[in-house]
Amino acid sequence: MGKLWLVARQEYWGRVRQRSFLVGTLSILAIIAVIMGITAIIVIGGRDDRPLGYVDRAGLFAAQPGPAADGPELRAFADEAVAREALAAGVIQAFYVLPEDYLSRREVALFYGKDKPGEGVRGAFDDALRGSLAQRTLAASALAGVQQRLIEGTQVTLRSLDGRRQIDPSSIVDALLPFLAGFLFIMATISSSGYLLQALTAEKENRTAEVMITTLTPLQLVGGKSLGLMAVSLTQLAIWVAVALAAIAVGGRYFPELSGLHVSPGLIGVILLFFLPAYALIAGLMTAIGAIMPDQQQSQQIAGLLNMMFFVPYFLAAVLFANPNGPLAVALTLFPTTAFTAISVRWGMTTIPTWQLAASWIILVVSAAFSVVFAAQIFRMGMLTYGQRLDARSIRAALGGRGS
Amino acid sequence: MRTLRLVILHELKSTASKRSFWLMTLLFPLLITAISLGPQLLARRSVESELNTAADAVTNGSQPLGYVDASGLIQQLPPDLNPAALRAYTNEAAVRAAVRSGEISGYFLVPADYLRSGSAVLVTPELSLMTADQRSGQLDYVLRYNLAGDANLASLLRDPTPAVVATSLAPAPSATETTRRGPATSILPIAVMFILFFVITMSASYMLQSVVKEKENRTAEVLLVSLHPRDLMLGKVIGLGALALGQMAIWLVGGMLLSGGGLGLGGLLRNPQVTASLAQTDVPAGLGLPSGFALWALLFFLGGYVVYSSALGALGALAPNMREGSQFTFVFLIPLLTPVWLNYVFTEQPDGPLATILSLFPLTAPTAMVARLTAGGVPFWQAAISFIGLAVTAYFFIHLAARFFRADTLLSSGSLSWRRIGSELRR
Repeated sequence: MGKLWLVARQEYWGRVRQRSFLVGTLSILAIIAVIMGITAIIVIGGRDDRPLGYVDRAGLFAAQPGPAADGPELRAFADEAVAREALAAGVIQAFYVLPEDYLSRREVALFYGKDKPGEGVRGAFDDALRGSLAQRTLAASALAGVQQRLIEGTQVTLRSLDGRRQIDPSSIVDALLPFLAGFLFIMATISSSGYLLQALTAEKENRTAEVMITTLTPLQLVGGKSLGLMAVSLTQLAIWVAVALAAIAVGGRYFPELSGLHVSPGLIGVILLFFLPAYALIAGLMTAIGAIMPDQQQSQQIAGLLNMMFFVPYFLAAVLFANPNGPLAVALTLFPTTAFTAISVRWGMTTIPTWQLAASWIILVVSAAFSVVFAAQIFRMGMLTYGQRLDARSIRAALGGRGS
Repeated sequence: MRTLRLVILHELKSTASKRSFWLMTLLFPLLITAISLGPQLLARRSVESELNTAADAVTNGSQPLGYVDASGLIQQLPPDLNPAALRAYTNEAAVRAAVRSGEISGYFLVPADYLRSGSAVLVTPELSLMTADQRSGQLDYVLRYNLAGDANLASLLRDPTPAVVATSLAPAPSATETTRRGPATSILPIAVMFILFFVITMSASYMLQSVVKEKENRTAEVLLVSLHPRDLMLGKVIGLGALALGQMAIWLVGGMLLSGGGLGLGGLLRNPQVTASLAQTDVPAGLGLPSGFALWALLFFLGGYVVYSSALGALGALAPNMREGSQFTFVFLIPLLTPVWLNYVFTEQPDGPLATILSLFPLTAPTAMVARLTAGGVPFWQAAISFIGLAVTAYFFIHLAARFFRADTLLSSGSLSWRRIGSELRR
């Protein structure tokens, strides 16, 4: 046990103390910041603040609507010809024409220059129109607040029948959070198992493994390395999360959607329960690949294909969003490699039945245990064979216990 | 010269004899197709069917919903709403019982303070965000109808502009402008960019692996006895480049065989039958790819490959092992990755300032310019300048990498750091 910790500590500090660890961890953050900055510049720079015109033949706008909080100024034109001139001169970005029979035909015309106005601009016009419609309807209404309700409509919150889950569709951040958290954790899992593969094949190639096994059992060596590398990935994750939390704390002042963000204890529980066995599963598989394949280059290609097996639910995320309780979603939840990711994708969208969570966890733990035992046996056999691939017969022999 | 040929042959033979290389070559296209198209088709079908079911449920009442209206606002249902689709219940216990018995598929709770808060709850056994809008819209419509007292006004209040006839008054676009906005142009530049990015990084990282491996297992020591370091590097660049080209050729030929033959990419794309059959199968392959595109793509691939493989080769010469080498790889590949990250720029504004800058800057040009060329409408001079810049950079990088390929770096096992890379550059 002491040696296992020794290997783990050595692997952890060896990596964390390297400057490349810090550089790698921070550079991802820097890149994200730069990309967000560029996106913000493009969005703000691409915004057209010129007024939006309208020709009101239907006589809906009783008074000139005030400027919308977050939209362009609305400018009334007496007829289409004047509006066209203003558009040609570049004074306005576009104009709407409300025909006389707007109320019965429900059709409007929109004229624009080179680029169609964005959704925000069209939304601002819709809001103004909605305000006029509500005013027109309720001139005689005595009921306070009706007009505001007619304009703003209804915000419907979704709740499951058993009361376990509640989703507010307007705060999509809450629904996406499990998805993001699952993604971060599976990235950590995959990157640390990738490091494990590299470490194992590198030591096999430069013959350090030969020296190591004179004092260590394969389980101590592989187990210690995987623990140490997992800790490295978790450290990296912790740094990212800390920065993200700081960003949310600051950004929350400007974007109220962010400040309402909360993580449910159920989600944390599920991540804790599924994360370790998922890591054990992939670490075991990587170890086996490292032992079977003759060199790094080849083992990494196979490892890439294997990583795909963990990402399948993300490729199918749209399907899972559309039907989070369909047969595909259930199948992905039960299959060991996709269990963790499938659950994290489904979590924000639906209530996953308890039996599925339980069955999925049991299947995952059993397959992780198999993968670790299998990997230890193969590793014992393949660790010392450099430059040659283990064939199916020797793998079978190793599993039968005749290899060592 | 003979040693150079030997190195090239060795790289070709050793990489091509690996089973995993062939696995990758043969499986990669299948994988990409499966990953990019499969989920899209699946998703489209299931999203459509979900939404259709929800829409049907709203109009014909096949999945009726109940409601408990504590505000007392709902006096009657709009005439155009199927009365079976929305049923009133007096309290939550009754409506829950109705859900359990299968009478209704869920229910709304309208609170007493609805007029002030505007909030309501939809309770269903299984949550689905996808259909939430349609179902909540039904309640919103009913409530607005009861507040406004008129079905037409209620639906206009929900969406004041349900039908917009939009007309552009800008002067008629030029010829290049009209040809380029094909139906497929939105996905195609991104797809081409991804493929190019993948092929360049993969072949460049073969270079890194090959150099580091020989350093690690001390083959370099033996090799340098009879070989000039520069020959070693050039041989690797040429050999692995030939392999990468071969790989692309296999994919191209395979793709053409699968889609029914044709003489070259251009011939394939101009073949109306193929285009029609591709259009039918929803595969946005090559619709409206500008002529000469294949040649440009090849040139930019070659330039990008030389730049990045010599950069990674230099890195390999300094790295004591694969682990340290691959930690720096990411930083080296950032320029190539930047256009991929900013991919929306190439679909939104392929001629905008950012896309133009990215496609002219040599390190981002291999992915950025090809993405813009896919979208079409790139002036010839821009493509030419970009390629010349890339070629000059490639030449410069080869020379730079050659400086790193020296006996002392190849034989040293010193740790890799930015300071070391910097001091090697200054030597």
